[in-house]
Amino acid sequence: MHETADRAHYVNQWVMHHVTDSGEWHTPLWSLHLPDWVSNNGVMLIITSFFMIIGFGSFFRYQKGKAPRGWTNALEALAKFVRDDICIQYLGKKDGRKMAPLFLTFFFFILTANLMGLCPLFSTSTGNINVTFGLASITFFFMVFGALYVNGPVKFFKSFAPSGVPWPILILIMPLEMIGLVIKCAALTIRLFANMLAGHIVVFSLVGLLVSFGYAALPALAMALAINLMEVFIAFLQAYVFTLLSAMFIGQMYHPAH
Amino acid sequence: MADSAQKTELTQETTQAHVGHGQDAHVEINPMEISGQMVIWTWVLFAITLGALYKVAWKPILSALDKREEEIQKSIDNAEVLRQEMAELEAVKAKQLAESDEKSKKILEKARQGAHEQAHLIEEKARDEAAILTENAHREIETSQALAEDALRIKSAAWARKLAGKLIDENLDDEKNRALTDKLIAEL
Repeated sequence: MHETADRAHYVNQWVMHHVTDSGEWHTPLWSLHLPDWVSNNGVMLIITSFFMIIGFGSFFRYQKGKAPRGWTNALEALAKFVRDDICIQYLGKKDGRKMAPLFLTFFFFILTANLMGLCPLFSTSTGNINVTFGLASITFFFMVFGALYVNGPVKFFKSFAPSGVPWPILILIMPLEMIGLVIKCAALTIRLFANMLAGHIVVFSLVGLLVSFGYAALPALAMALAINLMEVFIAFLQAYVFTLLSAMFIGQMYHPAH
Repeated sequence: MADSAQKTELTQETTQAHVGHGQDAHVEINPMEISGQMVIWTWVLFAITLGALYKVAWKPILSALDKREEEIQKSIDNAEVLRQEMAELEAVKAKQLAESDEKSKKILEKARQGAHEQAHLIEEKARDEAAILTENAHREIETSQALAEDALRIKSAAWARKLAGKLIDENLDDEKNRALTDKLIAEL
């Protein structure tokens, strides 16, 4: 009985250790003590960035007068999807086209970080609330300062007051709308972080059942594999959801009448 | 009490050995831990990635997409212009067909009228000719009749002379002579 409890505690520690940021990078091949100025998730972000710049730079091969093929074609299709169905859809043609690089970076940055977390040797930096907060704060920056730049301060503050609402109610609604701005970004932060963290906790917990119950829990391994495959889909979905909601929130601030 | 202490020790040892990779098992693992350093890392790396990818990927990809869209739009516009030109040509063709149809109808009508007039003229001419022929025939008949009458008159005269000669030869009385004369005239 005590032994089972110990094992459960061990599994709990093991799971939490694997889904939490630390100052070390352990793999079956190496074990690195990272310097103070960078954590494991920080390294993952650096690798994400590196992969993206190197990968995209070498994948994209535009040949004038020729139809795109292979990776270039796939990349173009995804870029077109993000630009047309997310950016232009929620920000309008002018702003959507102008801001497409930001949302493309959002989508692919989150997607790469999510997928990296599913690969052995790496960990999920998007399962770190500070990373998702960092990304959501970029959205917040554009929601506030972008909207101020585009609409000017008067129109910006007017956007918190829905038209046709009597002024006594506006006194209540305006602060709520302003708080809503922060809540939207907090929701972005929590959504991505919780989804990525939860997925990994489930997978590690299922694997941990093997430690607790031995071979009797072998079917849990198949389940963990199935959930891991589903995590691939979730990696795409969460990248899409974050990008879409960011575009929607920024679009709402840029074009408050809509 | 001793059991409890032993258990805690065992758990700590196990955790330290297998889980923490040297990390202190007493350290609270909190996934919600806030780290300003990590947020700054995210901003910096996101900004670097955005800048680098803008140069390396997004700019060429988006301009390639724009270019292709422009080309497609251009092709669509050209197709639209061609379609309009075709429609205009079709309208001109239809107009020309209608005009030629009208013209052919007029020509046919004119030809029909001409034919009618021609037929009428021919008919009139034929009628005139027939009238002339009839008149000529009448005239010929009249001439023939006159000639026949003349011939008959001559013959009658001859017969009358012959008759008179016979009458004279037979020397009949007045009554008999008149009857004979009437009979001869009736025979004529």
